[in-house]
Amino acid sequence: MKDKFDFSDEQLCHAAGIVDEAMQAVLPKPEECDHAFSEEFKTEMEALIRKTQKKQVQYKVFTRMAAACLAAVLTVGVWLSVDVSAREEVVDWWAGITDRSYFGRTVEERPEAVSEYVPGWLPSSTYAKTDCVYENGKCTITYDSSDERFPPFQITYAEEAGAIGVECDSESGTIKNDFKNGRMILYTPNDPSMCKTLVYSTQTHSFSIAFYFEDNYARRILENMILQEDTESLLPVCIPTWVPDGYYRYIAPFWDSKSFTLQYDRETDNAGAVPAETEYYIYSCKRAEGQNEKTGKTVQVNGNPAVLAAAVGGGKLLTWTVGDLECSLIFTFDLETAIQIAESTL
Amino acid sequence: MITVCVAMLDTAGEQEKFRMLYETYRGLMFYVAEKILNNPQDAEDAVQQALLAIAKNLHKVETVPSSRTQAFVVIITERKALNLRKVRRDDLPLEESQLSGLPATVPEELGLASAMAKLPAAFRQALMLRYNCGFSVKETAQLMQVSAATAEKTLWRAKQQLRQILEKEGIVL
Repeated sequence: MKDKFDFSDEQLCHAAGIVDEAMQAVLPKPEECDHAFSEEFKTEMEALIRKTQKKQVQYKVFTRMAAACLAAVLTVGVWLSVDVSAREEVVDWWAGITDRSYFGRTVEERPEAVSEYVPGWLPSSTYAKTDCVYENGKCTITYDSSDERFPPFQITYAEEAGAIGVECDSESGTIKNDFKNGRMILYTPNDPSMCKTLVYSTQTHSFSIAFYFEDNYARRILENMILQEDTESLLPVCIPTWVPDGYYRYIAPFWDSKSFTLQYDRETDNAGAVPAETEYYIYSCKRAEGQNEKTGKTVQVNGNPAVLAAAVGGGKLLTWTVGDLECSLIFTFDLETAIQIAESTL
Repeated sequence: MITVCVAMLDTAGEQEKFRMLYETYRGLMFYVAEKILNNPQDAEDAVQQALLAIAKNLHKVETVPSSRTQAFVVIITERKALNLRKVRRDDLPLEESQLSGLPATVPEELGLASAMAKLPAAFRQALMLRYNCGFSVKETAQLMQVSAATAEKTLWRAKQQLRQILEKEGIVL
């Protein structure tokens, strides 16, 4: 049966046109806007463009080489398709090569059963440059920045606690337990040309990031690792992208067939000791099942009504919806912070 | 700056197009970014990032002085400004208007358009790039600097939320 709100492309185009007109109506005309850009703006722009220009040249060289290779492959392909003896010789030659162990090596593929994780938050302009390279139970993905503000970095993960460590010694760099009651370890090499490594081990998973930028970015990226969305048919994945300062994810995402849960605790100075019991929040989301009236005070999340009530067992409970998902947050801090977390949910 | 910026473009035609786009819209871009970021320095950063994104996707611009191009330029600038706002989150908490991007009020009786105007910025931007500017999902992904799968998912979620808004407000199309 067709959904009563199954929009056609025409309807969406028409509606988008109206929204565009409404947006333009509140904006001044281009000719009415003038701004004298600062010298810093000009200088920074120049620096960025120079880098982009270099990339463009590399890209052009690469595309020309690729075109030459393609032409060569086509020529050889045509020759082999018409000359039977040449084809047999080439097949024998190739069989000899592939018998050697180096070329005979097969690339390990990601087993279907292993989930794929992606960062729920990335610094502006960064993106995944490669697919997952799966090796020895670990998946590694390389990220880059489109405007070169961030040097490339690599994220590795494994579905096993403690599967990823830092290979180093005290002479080559420093190690410190970072923020995480001993769960997060930061390795900073003495040689600044070497990358830093942050390892985040939960009760069920290990994540690491090799990076050159500020530690806080690395920390935030790892804290926000989430399951790739292609698992959404099995479980709802919809997470807050903003974490209040001082909080960290206590365990790996927990889910069952109906809900998805993340628990955050406040960092304390008592590394390795019991986490503070009164400073935490638990985020959960599940598929909404029919109309379920909530009682409590009505507040706004992204302009939509949400309900604030007392949580069973202490703390406050905020409930709101995102699409067809019902999200909740049990928290012990102020409502403003809770709403900011809720509004960052995507 | 404009001289350097056009140097990254391949042909004289593209350089001229970018020059015209820059001269036509730079003031508006700054206005949009400043409205969201409330800080001239940050606004300039956002304009700079938006200009780079536009330069890389200049082949998608057909005519510079057109409402389609203006919409495209505004959306990209809005997106860059909101991203920057997220990164520099150590400021005061965002007001609702800043979170949802540029204000767009559409009368309730216009149903779907009214619901679209109420969407969070990321959803609205994806729908606008796809359905107002006419970009393909792949192009929308490139402009939003996300994977095609993520862009597709964002569009799907945007439609889900549209349904929810319409249902809640009892609007039948």
